[in-house]
Formats: sequence, structure tokens, C-alpha cells
Amino acid sequence: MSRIATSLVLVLTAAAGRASAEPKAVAPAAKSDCTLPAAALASKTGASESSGLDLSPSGHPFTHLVVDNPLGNVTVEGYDGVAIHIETRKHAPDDDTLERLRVSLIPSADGTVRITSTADGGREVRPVARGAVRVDLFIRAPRNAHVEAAASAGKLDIANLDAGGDLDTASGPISVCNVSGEVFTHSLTGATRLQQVFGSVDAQAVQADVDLDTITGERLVATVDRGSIAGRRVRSRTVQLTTTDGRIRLEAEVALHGRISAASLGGDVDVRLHRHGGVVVRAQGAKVDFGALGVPAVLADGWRQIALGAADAAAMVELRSQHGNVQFVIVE
Amino acid sequence: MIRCEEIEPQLTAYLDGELEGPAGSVVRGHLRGCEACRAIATDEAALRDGLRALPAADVPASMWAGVQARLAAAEVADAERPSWRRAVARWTPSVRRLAPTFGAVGLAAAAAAALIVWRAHGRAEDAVAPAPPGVAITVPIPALSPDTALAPSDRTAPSFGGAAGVGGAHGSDPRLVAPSDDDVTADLAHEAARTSAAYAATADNLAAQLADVRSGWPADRRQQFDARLADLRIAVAGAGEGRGRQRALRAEIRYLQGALIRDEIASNDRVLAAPGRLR
Repeated sequence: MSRIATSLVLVLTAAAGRASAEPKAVAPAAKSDCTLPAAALASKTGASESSGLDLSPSGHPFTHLVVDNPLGNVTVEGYDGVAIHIETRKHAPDDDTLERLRVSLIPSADGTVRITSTADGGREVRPVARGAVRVDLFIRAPRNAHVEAAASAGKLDIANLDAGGDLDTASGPISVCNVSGEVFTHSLTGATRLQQVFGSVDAQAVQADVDLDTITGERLVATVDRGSIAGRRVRSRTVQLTTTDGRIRLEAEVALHGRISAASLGGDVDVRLHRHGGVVVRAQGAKVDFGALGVPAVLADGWRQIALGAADAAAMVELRSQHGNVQFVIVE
Repeated sequence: MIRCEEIEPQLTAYLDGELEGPAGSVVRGHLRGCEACRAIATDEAALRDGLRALPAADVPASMWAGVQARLAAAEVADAERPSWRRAVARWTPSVRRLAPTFGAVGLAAAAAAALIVWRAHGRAEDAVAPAPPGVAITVPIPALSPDTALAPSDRTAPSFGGAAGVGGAHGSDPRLVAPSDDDVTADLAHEAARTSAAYAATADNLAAQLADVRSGWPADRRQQFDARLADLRIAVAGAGEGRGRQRALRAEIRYLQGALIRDEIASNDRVLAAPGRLR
């Protein structure tokens, strides 16, 4: 109870106008290639406001950050401090509508902080289209906090975090960079890009492309219904990529006993593999091309198979496309 | 002699055991002699004991929506009050105010969270651009109707014998999917249903594609598939609108994709998520 009260006091102090625009005692984020989006461009029309708030833990550290912002972008960047700094930027056609835009903050005693945006309704408010209002959230959080974030049409970016994340958008793009721990992403039509993820990845999109670069976690699972999957510098031991209608392109390293499976119903499957041991490749497709590796054996079940290197601890690569072509290349 | 008005602000710290030495002694002495303050302290202590005794609640997403809606309503009423009263009430912690409204679970959630509505403060010099148009989903969007989750659809796909079938299972209710472009609040209220409907449309589309494939399977394979799909659709129907239903629909989509593209019928538990936490 006292922890809650302490947190409350901190928020109230900040809200009373003493919050600094920049977080106090915040160490700079570790250097990485991850460039988070800058603040949105200024608009000459309508009403806008921005505010900053620092939330310091009292006792239990912040371990879980839950953000739900259906009204705009969410950016979460990890850093080496313990406080959470939240910057909100709101935009509306007029002051009255601006007053309707709310950002709620709920710090819990268990280390969870929830941040939610909403727009107040009521009988007496002047109707305003959703596209005319916006709330963007820029958050700096302790690097070891697990982030669970949801947006709608806005962008969702997280970077420099060590405890993974669970990200969900409807049509907004998702970007994950320099993150350890398990990462889950789901989107209906938002392009999903994950780079430098050092934990297992589970990415699911319905009608969007998934782009993967430098994924080294134990498992990588990505499924897309209508859209492509592109992977580069993938080093996961187990890789499973699936599209219904969309191309799969993968450049990966396969480990001993590793397993790579890429399957599409209607798209081409193109895999370039760096191997460090034996590998067995099985493929099915409208046309199967093993390039310079030679002519594969045709198995009784219709699969074409070729074995390379020692059979002990051989990795398994399984490629299939019902209506598309399959191409496999070893990159030495 | 210390007055009640001076004691009351210290009660929280006193009950938390944070007042030591003379400060604690002063409060303790006052409570011995003041029945009114003793009653307040007793109430406060009883509330805390009750909260501690409550089991940890897994608060559903709808709970938060309810809290938000009530807060919004309260703030609309608040706006009609004089400005000085608004200023005082704005930052009042909501635990006790919410308690009778939301019952035990709500009380636990509210108490555990110490709800704060962070209102605007600090006018910005820099402004931000308006949001882009809302969700742009081009897939056909039927709505979910829990009652029809296992029933064959008359819209998207043929159905088969057996409990599950692979026809479109997600019925249509235009009330859930009609875009509400008149006001942002109404639009937000329909957001979850719209998103679920888009996932449901994808699941129905995959199920329709599976129809031909399934007819070529042997009976035991069809049975296994139907049973698994029925389980997944029960999970969809049983999930509350919002992220829970969307999660269940994503699991169904994954399973249908696995069956259609990979011939994986038994389960899609091979995906990263742990059993019981399929995404």
C-alpha cells in the first residue's frame, strides 16, 4: 500500500507541473543500430499539447509495462535506469476535443505499469472523427522490463530491451530492434520488422509482410496469410516460416540438429543456407531447383531429397510450395 | 493538543507502520481518545485486511474497458462541476470510489493499481500531425457471433458433416462491424469487434480453402481435424470480445494454415507459444 502511495505522489508531483521534459538520472541507451522514430512533424492547424512524466519505483522495480494506445504511435525504448519516463503528444481539431483525450497510468504494486489512452464520450461532446485526433506515446523504460504493447493504426516500435515483448496492432506497422527475450508480434495488416532479436520469435500477420534480420533465438516461427516473409542472418535452431499466398525468402545458418521448415501454398520458397555440418534437404513444389547441388532423389511420397555432408547430427531442411517454385542454394 | 485534522493525513503512514517514535506515539495516543478518528482508522485497516485477503485476480480486458467507461462518465459529470471542485477531485485516488461499483474483483484491481487518470498538463510548443485514417483492412469482414461458432456458415464456405466442419464458422452481425465514423469514442468502442471480425474472415477463408483438401482425407484424419478445429472454435466462442478472442482466432488461423499448407492435423503446438498459450 505504501508503495502505491509513493508512486501516486510522484505522479501527482509531476502532474502539478514539476515534471521535467527529460527523465531525471536517465542513462543514455546503449548504442545499437536501432533508430527509433522522432516526434511527429508539427501541424499548423488544430490544438496540440505534450507532457512528460517520470515514474520512479518505490520498492518493487518496474518489471512489466503494458501499453494500449489505439489513438496513435507507441514507442518504447529500454535504458539502464529504473524509472519510467512517459512523453505524450496529443493533437485534436480544437481545445474541447483535446480535453477529451486521456492517458491513464496505473502503477501496480507488483511492478506492472499500465498506460492506456482513450477518448471521452458523452452526449454533449461535438462528434469528432477518429482520424482527426491523435495521441503518441514515447516511453523510456528499464531495459529489463517486459513490454506488452498494443496499437491500432499507429506505429509500434520497441528497442533496446532485454525481457522480450508482446506486440499487437491492427493496421499499424511493428518494429522491434535490439531485443532479447521472447518476442511475440501480431498484426492484421501492419508490416512487421524484427531485427537484432536475441530470443525466440513468434510473428503472425494476416495481410502484411514480415521482415526478419539477425534473429538468433532458439526458435523462430512466422506465419503470414497474404504477404511475404523475408529473413536474413537467421541463426535460430528451429525455424518455421509459413505463408498462404506470399513468397518466402530466407538466408540462414543451420546448426547441428537444426531444423528449418519453409512452406507456402501459392508463393515461391527461396532458401540460401550457410551450413556447418551435414544437412538433409527435402523439397516439394511446382518446380524444385537445387542448383549446383545436383539431382535430388525422388522419394515415394513425392518429396525430392538431397543429403550433404556427414549424416551424424545432420540438420533437416524442409521446403514446400504447392503452387509455387522452390529453390535451395548452399552458400559456402 | 493535536487536532483530528492533523491526525487524519497521517493515518495512512501510521497504518503502514511508517510512523516510528514520537510521531507514531502521537497518533496512537490520539486514537485512544478520539472515537471519530479511531473509526476512520478501523475502517481503513479493515479495508486493507480485506484487500490482502483477496486472491490475486486475473482481471479480464473487459474489466479495464468498464473502468475506463465509468471514469469517462464520471469525468463528463465532473466537467459540469465548479472548477475548484474539479481541481480537488481530479487527483483523488479512486480505490474507495470504485469499490462499491465493481465488487470484489474490481476492488482488488483498483486497489492493486491505484488508478490515476493522467490529464493533460503543460501546453506544448510543438504540435503533432493528425492521425492517418483508421484501420485499413481490405479482407471481407464478417462479425463474430459466439452462438454460431460451430454452425456452418451460409455465407463463406460449404459445410460438412461432423461437429466442426471447415466452413466459415463465424456468423455475421452487421451491428458489430458497421464503422462508426461519427465520433472517435464510438469508433473505439467498435475496435475490438472489427479486429476480431477481420481475423474471423481470414479463418473462414482458410477453412473454405481446406474444404477440397479435407474431402480427400481418410475418415480418421478428418475426424482428428474436426475435433481439433471444434476445440479451437469453442475457445473462440468462449473468449470475451477483445484480445482474448483475437488470440483464440489467431490460434485457429495458425491451425488451419498448418493443415492446409503443411498437412499438420494433430496439433499446431509446434509453434513457439507454450501449450495453453497459443497465439
